[in-house]
Amino acid sequence: MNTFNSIWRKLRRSKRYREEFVADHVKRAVPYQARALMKANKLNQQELAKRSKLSQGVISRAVDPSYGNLTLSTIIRLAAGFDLAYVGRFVPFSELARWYADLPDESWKIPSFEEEDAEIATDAQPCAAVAPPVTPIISATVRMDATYGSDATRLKKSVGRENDNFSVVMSEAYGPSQGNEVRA
Amino acid sequence: MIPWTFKDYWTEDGRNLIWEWYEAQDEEVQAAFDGTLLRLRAVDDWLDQRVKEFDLLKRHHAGLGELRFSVMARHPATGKSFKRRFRPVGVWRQEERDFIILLGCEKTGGNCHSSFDLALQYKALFEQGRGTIREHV
Repeated sequence: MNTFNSIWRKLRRSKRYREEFVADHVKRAVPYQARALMKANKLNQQELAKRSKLSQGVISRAVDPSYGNLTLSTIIRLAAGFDLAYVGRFVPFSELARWYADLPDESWKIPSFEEEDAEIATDAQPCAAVAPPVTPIISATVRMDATYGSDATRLKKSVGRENDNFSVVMSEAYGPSQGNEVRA
Repeated sequence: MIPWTFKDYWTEDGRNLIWEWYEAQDEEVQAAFDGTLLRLRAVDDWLDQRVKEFDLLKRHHAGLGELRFSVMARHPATGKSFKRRFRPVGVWRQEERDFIILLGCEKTGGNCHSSFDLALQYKALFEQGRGTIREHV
C-alpha cells in the first residue's frame, strides 16, 4: 500500500483521529522542519539563535518535537533566521496526506530569499534596464485628435518645434486617446 | 533520499503485537504514533543527536531501538498537565533501511524494561526465522 493511501485510510477512521493528526502535525512539523533546515544549512543552535534573535534555549525547544508549545512569534523569528517564508493556512486533508507521502522527496534545500533573488532578479529587472538604449533629446507626447490630426508637421507645431529637423514617431497601435511620441 | 520503511513483527501464531497495542490506544496516541513514523521515514540519519524520536538501547537491551514520542495529558484529579511518553521498541537495521516494530510501551517509571525484555525475546525468535515481518500500514 502506498503512503498516501495508508494515511487516507487512517484519516477515514474518525473525525477525532483527523483532529489529532492535525494537532500532531501542527505541533511537530515545525520542529521537524527546523531541524532539517539547520542540518541542510549547516547551522548549529547558537548560530540559528543569533540569526533569529532568539535565545539558544528557545531554539533548543523549537527543534524538540516533544515540546509542542511553539508560539507564533517564535515561528516568525525562526522564519526570519532562515530567511524563509512561513505559511500557515487551512488546507484539505488530501494536501496534508500528500505532503507526508512526498516527504522523502523534499530536499530541504529550501532556498533563502537571497538565493532565490539571485535567480529571480534577472527576470524581475525593471524594463528600463533591459530595453534597448534610446537617447531622446526631446520627448513629448501629444494627443492625436481632431485638432492635430495625423500630420507630422501639425504634431511638431503642437510641441513648438515645427522648424527643427527631427522625426516624428507615430504609432498606429496607439488609439486616438493614447498619444504619439515626438522624438528627435 | 531513500525513505525508511517500518515493518511489523508477526508472531508464529499470527499475532501482530504492535497493531494490538496501537488499537488499544486512543486517537491522540494513534495520531502521534503515525505522525512520528511518517516524519521519521524521511530522516536520513537517525543517529544524528538532533533526532529525538529514536534512540538505540544500551547495556541489557542492546540490539534494540526505541521510537520516542509523547502526548500532553491532564491529570483527572489535579488538572495538572503532564506528558505521556511512549516507547515503541524494535530492531533498527541500517543496511536494510528499515525498522521492525516489535512492541509498544507507555513509559511510566521503569515499566518499559519488562517490555524491552520481551522484545529481546521476539528479536531472538525473528533471528531464528520464527515469525514473519510485513510492511507496517
